[in-house]
Amino acid sequence: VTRRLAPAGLLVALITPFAAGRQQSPQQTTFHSATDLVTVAVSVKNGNVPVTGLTADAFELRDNDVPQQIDAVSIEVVPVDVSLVIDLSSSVLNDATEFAADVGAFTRMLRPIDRVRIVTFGSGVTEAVSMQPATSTLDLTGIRMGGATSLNDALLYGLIWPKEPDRSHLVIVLTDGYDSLSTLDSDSLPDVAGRVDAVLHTVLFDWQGLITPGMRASQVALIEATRRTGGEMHRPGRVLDDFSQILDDFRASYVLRYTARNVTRGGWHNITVTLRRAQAEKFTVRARKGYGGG
Amino acid sequence: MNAGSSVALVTIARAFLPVLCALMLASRPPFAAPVGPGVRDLLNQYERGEYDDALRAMADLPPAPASEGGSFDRISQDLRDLAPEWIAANGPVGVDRRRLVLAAFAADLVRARPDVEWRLRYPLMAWACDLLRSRPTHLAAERWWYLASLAEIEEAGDWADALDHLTHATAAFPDEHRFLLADVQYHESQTFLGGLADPPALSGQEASPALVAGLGRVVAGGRVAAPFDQFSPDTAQLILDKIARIPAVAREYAALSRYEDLGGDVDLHLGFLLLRTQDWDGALDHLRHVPERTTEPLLIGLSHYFSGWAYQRTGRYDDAITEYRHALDLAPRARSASILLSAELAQTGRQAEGYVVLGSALKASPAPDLLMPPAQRTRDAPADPWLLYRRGDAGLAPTFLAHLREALK
Repeated sequence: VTRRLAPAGLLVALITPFAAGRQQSPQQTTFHSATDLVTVAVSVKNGNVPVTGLTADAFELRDNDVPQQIDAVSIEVVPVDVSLVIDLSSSVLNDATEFAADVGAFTRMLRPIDRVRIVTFGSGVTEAVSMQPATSTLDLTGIRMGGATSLNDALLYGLIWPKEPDRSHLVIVLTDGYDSLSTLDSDSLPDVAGRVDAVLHTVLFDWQGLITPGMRASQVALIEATRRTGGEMHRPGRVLDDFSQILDDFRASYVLRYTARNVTRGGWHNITVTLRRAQAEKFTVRARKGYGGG
Repeated sequence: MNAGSSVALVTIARAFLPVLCALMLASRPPFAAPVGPGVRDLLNQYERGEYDDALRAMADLPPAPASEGGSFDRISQDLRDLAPEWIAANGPVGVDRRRLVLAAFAADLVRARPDVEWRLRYPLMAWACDLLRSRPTHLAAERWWYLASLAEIEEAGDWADALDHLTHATAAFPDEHRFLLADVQYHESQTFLGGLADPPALSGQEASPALVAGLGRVVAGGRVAAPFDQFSPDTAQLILDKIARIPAVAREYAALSRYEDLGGDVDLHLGFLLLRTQDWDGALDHLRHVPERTTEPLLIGLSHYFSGWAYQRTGRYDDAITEYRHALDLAPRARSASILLSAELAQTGRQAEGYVVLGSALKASPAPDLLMPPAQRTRDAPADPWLLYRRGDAGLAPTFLAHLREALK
């Protein structure tokens, strides 16, 4: 059942999540450009099913086209910083109370070591809730809906959160995908997304109004940006189910560690990750496209 | 009355005074007359050259609903009513100067209240223009009045009003080069794609060969992929017609390059037109000359902003960062430059620095002027230079008004 988050003027809920003790689950992380040690989050799926049990031998990783020795592969517990980026337009948010409840339920899926922040966007971009432990009380008072859509600017703000090296960053955006007021142009968004240290998952809502060419271009750019971070597109179902699926995908990712060798340390590093296995063509491999060298 | 009864009365009065005051305040209409100097006092203050106080008082008039104009209507009418007597108050001597002071006061008053809808402010500017046109003052400062008032009207974004006013300005000062420039700026505005409601991204004004080719396929009825799949043939033709005007506008700007005082403007606009057609190096050739040909920070800042864009689109990220930083040096609160700078920093591995730059820009309060609904605008929120580019000399309005006031002293 498709459910839309609801319009209403003002969110007044205070959310007090109580993070449940959860079984340790696989985490996705990225790479550390500050040192020569690089970590890369890799999602491997057979259709929609995560592929498990892979070892280092199964992967081939190239850094600026130079094959690298993978030191370790793990599905491990890494603290996650989550940025929820929420479109305040009426095509996405229908019910303020439900939205607040959904955010509260989402934070309860996280662990005490995880953190969450909420970035909202309409005509402007606002960090409605700054990054804080998932167990904190999230004050959503004052979030107002409506206005134009600064999607690209909001995504930029969501993506470039400066996470600490020992944490991973998951960005979840709920939007109709149509930008109408950003300074960052749609052509640039995928380039930026492909180069920052975050994984973007997009829940794409329908929009019933007039679509201008610029709006169409922004949706195309959003899809490409999501792909380049190694994330995925999602159609809206129940919002909580969306959140849950994204978290499960994120946690089912492998973390490849390697020490960059035979490449210049500075500048941009392109990364390619493939599977060596004979049936590799059956699987979908998603990983970031690179990192900025220190 | 003895001393004891006096003390008792004072005690009673003190006890009830706060209550009385509260009752009086509560009974005031929501948009009551301002407590402070009236229009005549403000005008006299302005005429004496006490501009800071007068301007502050204008801006501090009580807030009014934008849809109603509120106190602006009243003060505007007061100004018109007192004008004949005030102008003639000192006899024939100084009449011309007082008429110009009155017109300057009106221009400042219109600018002081951006929270009032433009359609409610424009009549006062038109009245001031009529005041001067009916009998030119022949004062040199009158030129500054026309420059300032035209810039204000352009800032409002209504080119119909601006063209009307430009006719009057040109008639008064046919040798003013900036009025020639304004005419070409209007022609350039006719090539802009979409209105001000469109995304402020520079790419929204793209007129690249690829765009032209894609739109051409739409008009011809051929198969097209995204983003052209959303264009109707009529819309595509409309955009093509606008783009087709760009070369003629470029020639008009080039013709103005013979006026040395317009050198910076001409290079800025020619650079931007080439930027739109994605002639990156051609654009940079013009943009790099802007700082040599003008001292106006707004124009120089925009030349850096546009240069940053050219470098960004050609993968020269470090050069883009340098240019955006220069732009921000000249306009520290330019949100557009901050956003693009942060994107480039993130792209080059300086994500944490980019986050700080972007966070500061997004949290700046108040936000850039033109992004704000009229009722939330204030004089303290300078407009983003990029948003002003499409509004003629709007960004120079404060400069022109300052020159005007100085000349009236």
